Amino acid sequence: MTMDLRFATISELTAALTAGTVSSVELVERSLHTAQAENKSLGAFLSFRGQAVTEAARSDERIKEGTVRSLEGIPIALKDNLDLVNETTTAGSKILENYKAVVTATAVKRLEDAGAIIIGKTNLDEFAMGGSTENSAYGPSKNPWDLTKVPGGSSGGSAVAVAAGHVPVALGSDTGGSVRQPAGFCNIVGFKPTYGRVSRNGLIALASSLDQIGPFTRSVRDAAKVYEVIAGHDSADATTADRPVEPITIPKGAEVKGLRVGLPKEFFGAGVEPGVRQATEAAAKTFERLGATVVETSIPHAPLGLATYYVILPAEASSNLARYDGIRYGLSASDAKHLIERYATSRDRGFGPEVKRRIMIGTYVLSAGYADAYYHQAVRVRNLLREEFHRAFDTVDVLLTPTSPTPAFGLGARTDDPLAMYMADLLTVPANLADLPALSLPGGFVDGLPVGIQLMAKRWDEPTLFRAAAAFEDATDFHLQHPPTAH
Amino acid sequence: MTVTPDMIHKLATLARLKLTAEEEAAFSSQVPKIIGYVDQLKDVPVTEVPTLETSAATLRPDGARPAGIENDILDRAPERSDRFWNVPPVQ
Repeated sequence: MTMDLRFATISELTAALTAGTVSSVELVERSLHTAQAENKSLGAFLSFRGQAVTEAARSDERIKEGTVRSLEGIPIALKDNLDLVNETTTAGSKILENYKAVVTATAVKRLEDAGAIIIGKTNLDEFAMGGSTENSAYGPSKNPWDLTKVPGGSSGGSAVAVAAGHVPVALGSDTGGSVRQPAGFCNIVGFKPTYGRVSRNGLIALASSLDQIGPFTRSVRDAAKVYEVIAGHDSADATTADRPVEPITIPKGAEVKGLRVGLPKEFFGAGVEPGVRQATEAAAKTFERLGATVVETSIPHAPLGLATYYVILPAEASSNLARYDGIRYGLSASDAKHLIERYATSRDRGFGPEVKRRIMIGTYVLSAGYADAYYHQAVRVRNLLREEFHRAFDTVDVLLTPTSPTPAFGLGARTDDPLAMYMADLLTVPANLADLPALSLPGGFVDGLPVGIQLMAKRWDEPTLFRAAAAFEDATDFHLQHPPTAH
Repeated sequence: MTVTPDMIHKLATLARLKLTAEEEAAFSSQVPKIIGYVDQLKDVPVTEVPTLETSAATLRPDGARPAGIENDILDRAPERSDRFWNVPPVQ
């Protein structure tokens, strides 16, 4: 059987590379060629790395020598808020249009050290603020399943690059669902590790108590493989936990007999489209058929997760984004002759509307007189949510929910209504607020558009999360369906 | 609490944002809606909940460590002199 290289998984590509049926140079040239040719219609990439071909040639040497590393010669893409030293990181913003990174992000360095070849940087909502990639200063990305729909966001470019068959792996960042939601919209796997698992050194900060880097892949086993490479303590990110990363072993035909799957009823309520709810309920039936016990459970304050998130996120983002001042790096309004005017004018020219809006909200919820009613109250509700999840995991091993309330929505459909846009995060933000590992995987289709289902596990329990997800994937064929390739 | 257009203007000044007239008008209608949405948190009785961060991560001692990239960082500045960033006059 000839393998379809375009939609092959890492394991399949690794097997082909070591068997010598394809070279890394061929894979990388192919990736670059298709990604570049389709970028006009899909808008997935912000930059390409021609030097990837030379790097691939070095991987081919290693393959010949037999010194193959775990991701040797595999083409990958990076969301453009991840730093590669001396190369441009725009974060999807005009303010960083010409910014050259000072370091290589730790997670990226670990991928390079495992032999992965970076072919380019992908499109995103400006500073990862958004759920559609329409907030990019460089134009939107489009959903390969239907070019009139959004691919989700904020890591939309990375999701498109994997879904459209440009690369088998791309990294994104997930602050409130920015990996899982676009993965769901594009019919691929998207994984957010436990908070503290993957170093954010070299990731442009959005909200530091929520941000995690995670992979997009075409299979659960591939996500686990990338996770094993990027996870672990890093002295350059003090929030990474100094505890060993358990190796993920998923046997063929992974078992879920005895696994306890909880359906938290609050994740199936108002705003969740019937087709999405049905797909998730069908997934629960699949788990049951595979020998798992499925029970209804409750996270009573989950419906307040979104409100909690939209206080904590802007508060942290407005603080993190204070560094863009036109003095230290990035766009500078050199015609503004006084200090405050230089700050304000540089930020006016460099930031788009969503970024300004969130800075305004963050400034409001942190300001004297309002901080207790908003910010501190949100932190308290967040703790309440953490407790409720903690208790839920006393009686279940994983939680199963839809990834998003709806499938991909139309381009432009929500751009005038920020609150409607925020609703796309409704079911993904709780995992960030509670620091939990969570994964979205293909769970069906509604009117030809993919539906993602989400699994969450308790902190540090990635092994159970991956095992449950792999069992579902092995028992279904949603992940084997690919979007049309003629863009 | 209502967020007035005056307050939008003041917040922008505090946040060092210069807004166009259109942005100020748009934010005057959008920001109150978002604040109205998050207002639902106020009714949650949470006195029993510890307010300490219970995040997964652990912190290291806060101390300076040379990173060897000082010059690279300064090189990204629009204007620098020697080991310093140049700033325009305050007034």
